[in-house]
Amino acid sequence: MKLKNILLQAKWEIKRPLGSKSSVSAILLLSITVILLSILMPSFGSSSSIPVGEYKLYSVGSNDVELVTKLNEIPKIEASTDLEGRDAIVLIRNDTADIMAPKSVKGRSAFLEVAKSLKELNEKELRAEILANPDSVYVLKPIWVRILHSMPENVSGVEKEHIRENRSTTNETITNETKIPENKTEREITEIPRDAVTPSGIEIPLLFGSLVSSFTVVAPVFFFCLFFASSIIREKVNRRGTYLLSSPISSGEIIMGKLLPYFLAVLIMTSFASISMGKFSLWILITIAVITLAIMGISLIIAVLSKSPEDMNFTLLFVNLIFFAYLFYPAMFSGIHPISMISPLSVMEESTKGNISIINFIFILSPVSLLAIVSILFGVYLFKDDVLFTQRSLPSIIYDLLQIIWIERSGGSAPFIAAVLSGILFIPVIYFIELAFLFLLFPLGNSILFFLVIIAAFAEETGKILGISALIQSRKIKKWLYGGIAGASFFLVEKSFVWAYFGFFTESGVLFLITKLLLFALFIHILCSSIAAYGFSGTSGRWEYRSIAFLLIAITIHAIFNFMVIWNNMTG
Amino acid sequence: MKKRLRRIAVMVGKDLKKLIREKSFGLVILSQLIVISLSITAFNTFPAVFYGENVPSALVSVAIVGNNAFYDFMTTSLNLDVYRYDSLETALIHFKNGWHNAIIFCKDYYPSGRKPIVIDIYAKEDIPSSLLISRIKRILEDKEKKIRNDRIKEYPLEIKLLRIPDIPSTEIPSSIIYSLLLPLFFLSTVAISGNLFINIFTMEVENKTIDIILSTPVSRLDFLYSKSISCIILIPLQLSLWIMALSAGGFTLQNAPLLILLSILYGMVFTSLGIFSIYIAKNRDNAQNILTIFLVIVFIFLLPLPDSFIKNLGFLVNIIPAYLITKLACSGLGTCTITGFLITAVASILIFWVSHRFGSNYLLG
Repeated sequence: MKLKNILLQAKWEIKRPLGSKSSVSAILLLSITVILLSILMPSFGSSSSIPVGEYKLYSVGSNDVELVTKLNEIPKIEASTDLEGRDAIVLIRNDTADIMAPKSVKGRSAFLEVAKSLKELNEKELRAEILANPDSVYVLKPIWVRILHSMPENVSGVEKEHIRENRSTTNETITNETKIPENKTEREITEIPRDAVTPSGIEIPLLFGSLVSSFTVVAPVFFFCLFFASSIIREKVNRRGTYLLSSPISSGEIIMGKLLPYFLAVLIMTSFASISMGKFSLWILITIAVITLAIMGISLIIAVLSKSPEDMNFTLLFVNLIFFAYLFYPAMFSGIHPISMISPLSVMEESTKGNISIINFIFILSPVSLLAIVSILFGVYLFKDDVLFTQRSLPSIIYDLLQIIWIERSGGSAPFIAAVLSGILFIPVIYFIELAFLFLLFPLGNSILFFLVIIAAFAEETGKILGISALIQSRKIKKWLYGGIAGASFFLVEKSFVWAYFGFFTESGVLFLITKLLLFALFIHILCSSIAAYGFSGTSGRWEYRSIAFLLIAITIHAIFNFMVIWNNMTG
Repeated sequence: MKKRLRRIAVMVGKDLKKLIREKSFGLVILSQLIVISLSITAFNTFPAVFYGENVPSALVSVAIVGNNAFYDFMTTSLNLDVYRYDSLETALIHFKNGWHNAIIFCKDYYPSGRKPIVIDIYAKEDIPSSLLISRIKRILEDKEKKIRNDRIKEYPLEIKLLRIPDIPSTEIPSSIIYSLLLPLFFLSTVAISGNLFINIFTMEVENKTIDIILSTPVSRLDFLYSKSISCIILIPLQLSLWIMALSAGGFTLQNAPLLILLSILYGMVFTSLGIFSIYIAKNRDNAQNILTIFLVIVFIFLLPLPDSFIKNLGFLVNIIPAYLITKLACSGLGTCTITGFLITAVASILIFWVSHRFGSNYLLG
């Protein structure tokens, strides 16, 4: 691979859109929109801001005319004295507010909103009373709180605060005797610290604050990967790929040349975003680089195999959604559950705080890195005339791929090596699919386990049989028992990786590796792959009803075994 | 007229067949269903996880600096294993060394005294600390109410406070689903029609099949209408799936037929934007970029806006998509909502008609 050729291709990739006036204007308009958005963002996010849809969302009825007037000042509430057909009703009797709401989701929501608003109205009353009568502050607002996220630089310099016990307080007052100016808050008329708030005023820190900043650096990745995939499919749709491939430049150089500008653009944007947030670190850059390469690799394969741009866009949308969920869902539980570390974003956050060693950082990023390498290599391999411009079946493409890594040789060991390779070829992809769906455990809990065991069985059995079916189709192997060899090789490589990876995070990682079931698991893998291979040997490797039926039997047996393992673990 | 409609129907049928043959279109619908199901599940599960009554002890380590009364109050209320310190300095050193997630410090804790109680909470900016602060907030709110009631007995005040029922901490209002996610999903589904229009129109141009079609007895206008209808026709189906998914999650939507009709109207606007984008950009990629700009403008109104700004909009708020969608979905049909809907309908039909006339003259002319 020559750097000169890659740079030439990259240069053309940058120059091409710049040649079109409408492209430049589109980029300019987009940039202006983004800049405007970032300028307007603070006003969007201010405390008095609400989504437009929430404006006068809840209709509330009350028997108290004064309360109706006050509630109508609240942006989310539309109040009236009419009690018919309301989302919530507030009945006032002897200073007690009874809130009634239907048992629907909206009714419950209206109840919470009205109760919150009444609480705010009480706060207003308290504030007005304190301003009129400053002496009453210790009665009406007896507790004040300061939330301090930053601590003194030099802790030993902090005044030694010793706690007083048994002190007489009966005659102490804190009132500021000076005249109270108008528009002063209760803090300004007392000795209460300026940054203190009452308990109801405590703003709970944004739970997923770190995720918002992660989102800012990750979001551009998906856009640039889409641009990269569009560039690939354009060569296919316009058939310019034919000319490119006939030029003295290899597919690897073409792909790398196309990938380079978008990859660099992501890194530049990430750097800018993290610098502007004051969070720039090499860890962020490395994590984003690895994620970008993995998504670019997947986008490349999808672009090459898609029939049309729509086909590509739809598939990319789905795959990116799964990837997005895999990145963000576990990261929401960062610091709460160790399994959250399966997300590279959790690792990124922890490493920026210095909570993780370099070795651990590299280790945790290894599945995504492996996916990036495998998908880019596979994508480069697929970028050729007969894949781009013909409708070839997936097994025949896989067989071609096997031919590259399987040195053609005659003799007894050749089918054996082929079967071993087909067993381990798709492990990174299978492993990633399983990881990507594992995020469902967080929102759905153990109830999703049944679905996950089926997904795992489906991904593993299909992954193992893809290579075997291609080999049977090309008559390189004939005996269905080679399926068993693929199953055994898959088991050995996959289990070693799982042991290293999950055992690393958590003791519950052993769930995947219950020693007493290990031999049984090996047997299941061999059995299932042999059953599926038997089905395919009857159809000469083609995907027909018979072969699919046998594959489904294999998946079912595998799923039942997975379910047994989990059940055994849960019930002790 | 009958013949014309038949011709349009034949072309729409062919485009739809092509679209359905794209098996990946099913993935888009699947993606939307995944997003909506996860949102509903997350809405129902997260408050219990994050705002539950108890913060797991294994998760947070808290240092308490205060007198005996304060220590007793905090240990009983927090229901956590806490560490007691006599001096803030030592606690801060340990906090800095990462031994604790938070320090709760109160120099003078005298509930029966005549002085406000000031509490300092040193906390990290991580999820466990956020959970702890959320828990402390509820504890202190209850304590504040109790101390106020006790002190008010000794300090007679003429203040009228309403007694309000307790708000369960594990519940959050569903307004985010109705006001943010619903319009977002609704508009994302509809926006695909604009994107689809650009794709299927430019595909005809790139494959040069447009010349063949226009050489048959099909007018330019009918050709554009057929393409637009092909892009719009799938929206009601997708939306129906959505409505069913939301209902299954307990989020019943009112006025479903009107919502579906509204999606068709917005679909007409987005395909019109597709026509203008192609006219400006001339090719597929750039047209998509231009359409993105239109989308950003529409989606800006999904972001939280200052309430004073919304109030100043007056009646105009009724024609903002996010507002109209939410109102139709979860409120009765008021005069303003119906008027807003009718204005949207007239404007959408007008934009559709003008854009297609414009397109037939300038895009295909």
